[in-house]
Amino acid sequence: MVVSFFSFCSGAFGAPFFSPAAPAWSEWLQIGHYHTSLVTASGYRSLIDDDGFFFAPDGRDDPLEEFHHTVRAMEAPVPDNPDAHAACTFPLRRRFIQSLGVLSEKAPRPDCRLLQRYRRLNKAEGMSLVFTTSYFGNPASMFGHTFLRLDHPQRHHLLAPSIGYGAVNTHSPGLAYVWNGLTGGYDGMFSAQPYFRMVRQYGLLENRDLWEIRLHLTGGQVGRMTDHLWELAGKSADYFFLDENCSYMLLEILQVAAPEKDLTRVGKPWVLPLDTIGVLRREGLTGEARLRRARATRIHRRVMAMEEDELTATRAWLDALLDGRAPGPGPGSGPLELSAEYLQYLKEKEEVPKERFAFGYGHTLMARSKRPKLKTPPETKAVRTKRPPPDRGHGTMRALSLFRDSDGEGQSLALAARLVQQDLTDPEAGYEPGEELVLGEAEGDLSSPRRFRLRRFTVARVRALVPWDPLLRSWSWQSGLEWQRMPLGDSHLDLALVDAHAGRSWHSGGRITHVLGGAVVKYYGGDFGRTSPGLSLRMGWIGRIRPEWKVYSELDGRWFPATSFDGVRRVLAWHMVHTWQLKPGLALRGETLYRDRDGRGDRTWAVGTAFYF
Amino acid sequence: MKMKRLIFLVLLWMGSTSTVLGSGGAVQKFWSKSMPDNMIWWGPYFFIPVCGVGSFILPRDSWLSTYFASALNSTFSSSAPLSTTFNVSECIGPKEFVQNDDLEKFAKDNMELLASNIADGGGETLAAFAELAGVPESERGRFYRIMQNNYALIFPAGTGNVDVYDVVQSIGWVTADRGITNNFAREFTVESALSF
Repeated sequence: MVVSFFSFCSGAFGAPFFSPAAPAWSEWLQIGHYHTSLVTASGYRSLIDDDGFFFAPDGRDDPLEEFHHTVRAMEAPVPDNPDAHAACTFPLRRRFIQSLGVLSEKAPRPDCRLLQRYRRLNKAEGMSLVFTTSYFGNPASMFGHTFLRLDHPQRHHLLAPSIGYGAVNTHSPGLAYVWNGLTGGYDGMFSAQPYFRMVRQYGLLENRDLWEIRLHLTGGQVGRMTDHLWELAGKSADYFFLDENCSYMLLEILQVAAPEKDLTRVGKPWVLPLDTIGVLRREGLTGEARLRRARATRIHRRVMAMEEDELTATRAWLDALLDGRAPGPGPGSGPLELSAEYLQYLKEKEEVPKERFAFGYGHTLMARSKRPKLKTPPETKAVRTKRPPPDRGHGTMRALSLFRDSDGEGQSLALAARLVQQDLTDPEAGYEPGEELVLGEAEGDLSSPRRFRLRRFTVARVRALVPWDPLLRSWSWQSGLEWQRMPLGDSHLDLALVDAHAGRSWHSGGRITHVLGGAVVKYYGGDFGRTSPGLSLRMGWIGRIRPEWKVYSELDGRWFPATSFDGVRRVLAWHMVHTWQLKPGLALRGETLYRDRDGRGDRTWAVGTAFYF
Repeated sequence: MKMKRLIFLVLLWMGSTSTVLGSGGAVQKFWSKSMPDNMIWWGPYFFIPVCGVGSFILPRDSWLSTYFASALNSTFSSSAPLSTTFNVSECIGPKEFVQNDDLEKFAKDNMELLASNIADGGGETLAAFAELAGVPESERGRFYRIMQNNYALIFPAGTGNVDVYDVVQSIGWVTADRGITNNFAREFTVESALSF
């Protein structure tokens, strides 16, 4: 209906020279960021909310009207300041309209000096998508972050412009921040920074690995996108945390770069950075990926690769400097370089006074400058790695279907659905080893065709198994909040469970071993309202038998000093999960659970499939 | 008097022809016996050409300022007058280098990493700096070596005050003398990209 309406719609200034039936109509919609809408007469509405982006008074809601006004603006006389002419402020629209052959001969060709300068400074022959891994220090960064980098062979990548989209003026307290973010209460804008500032922010300050994924785009396509960014300069759009966010809006501008692709179809009500990467992979745009390791990762790798005597020398050197003592002649090049990096790490984490840092860093570099250059310099830049990049990973949603047999409850079909994103039993290709982030997971049993019983709902579970080494001494930790429904005769018992653990983990050759201790609090709901605190110790091992075959095994002991409502004081559970990844979106899964409650044991096993999308 | 001048010229020659300036040359070994351990060396020069009064200002939170301050207080205060032996008013670095604001901006943003790379004798930040400074690809290896060998000149402990301007200018001094850098007028996108 919408199409037929526009097909017969005349232009506001004359003949029906352009209509939704035209082959280029979809490209016009992309350039204007129009999407179908149920609340506008035209059936479309632009994601851009800034009046400055439109020529027509109703341009945001009427793409055809906007087209006609744009043509008229392109044909308008050049003002005193040529840079203010529409042809200069909207170069991609100008190119598009010109390609349709609808511009009259009188259309001027102003001298767009600012645009030319902008093009010269931001010239690019390629583009990379940069994905920064999750940062658990900030809830908004737990899913990672994405931005674009404009590449040119004759420009060092640290000097390249990087393009990001973000909310501005987000200083709101607590719940107001969440509310504004969910309802579009903030303005979102594109901005550019030199890449070295992004590397510093994410890789050095926040210690997040950066994946640099080359995109299969031609220089011409990149040029279209940069021209379009010029059109968007200073224009805002409502920012939504869930969908019109920093990650999705990159797809919007990449769609302009490659009109023949279908990049804005994500298929979910929310868009995570990994979803964006998944779309780009689906459309065949992702190419070679390089990993730029975070400072902490680099330090850890250097420490683990060092001989014992070198490490001892490093520690002695650092101890002297951090105590403010004048050091001796100093160790060799490697330990000195490690010392310098470690001192910077301490400084960024504000774990060393500035004066002490200055003292130590200055002495370290002075000593280092008097040593020869290392024959094999340590890794400081983005490198090729065997680790699968994020575009090789599975989708961020998961559905489980398992046939389960339990000593106590018999056979059933276990079904589970998870909104986001990854747990330690999932295939880890494309994800950070040892990191778990689960939000909104429901799990239930279908014990007969008509009886489905919800057993568990995980609100949130976060685990960070950070590799321990004698220098960084990083803590691993986990925390979670979940609801469980326990059978109680013919009825059931609602139970909320909160836990917090901390400890150590060791990463070696793709295997992770961890020991975490912490506290668990059970809260019984309904008429049984009562809280029962307890202690917990978890020990686990994660490894791979084959690249596609992952094993997760964990022993979880819990002790409740006071007899809890269900009468259980000691619980010992051993959980083992085998996952065989058939392809990124599909895995076979087998698991066993042995649980001992005050000496009464029961066994459960299950096999089935896990779907990721 | 002639003998003193001759000795001075010999020392000057020994220092300036060494490719390992300040890291084990004969002159340094001689002086090291009687001077503080963290004495700054550039060949025979154990003082730093500081250009302009304005360059004495350093941000308070800079690691450089605190490092130099501590070094100055602890070991180097007695040698401060030596810097006056250079006529600082005539101290002029390569003009283009000084005029390259973007080079300074980059150095300011990356000072710690740049210092670290210079001390290491290479690294990504130094490579980007070299590109920005117009150092030809064929000269990069030599540029890195010279940077490392002259670390103490570029980041002088003992002068008490150095800022980004001084660092960039010192690099200009060191490299221009060796015919490496002569094109510092490259356009850069640090700020221009921001304006979009």
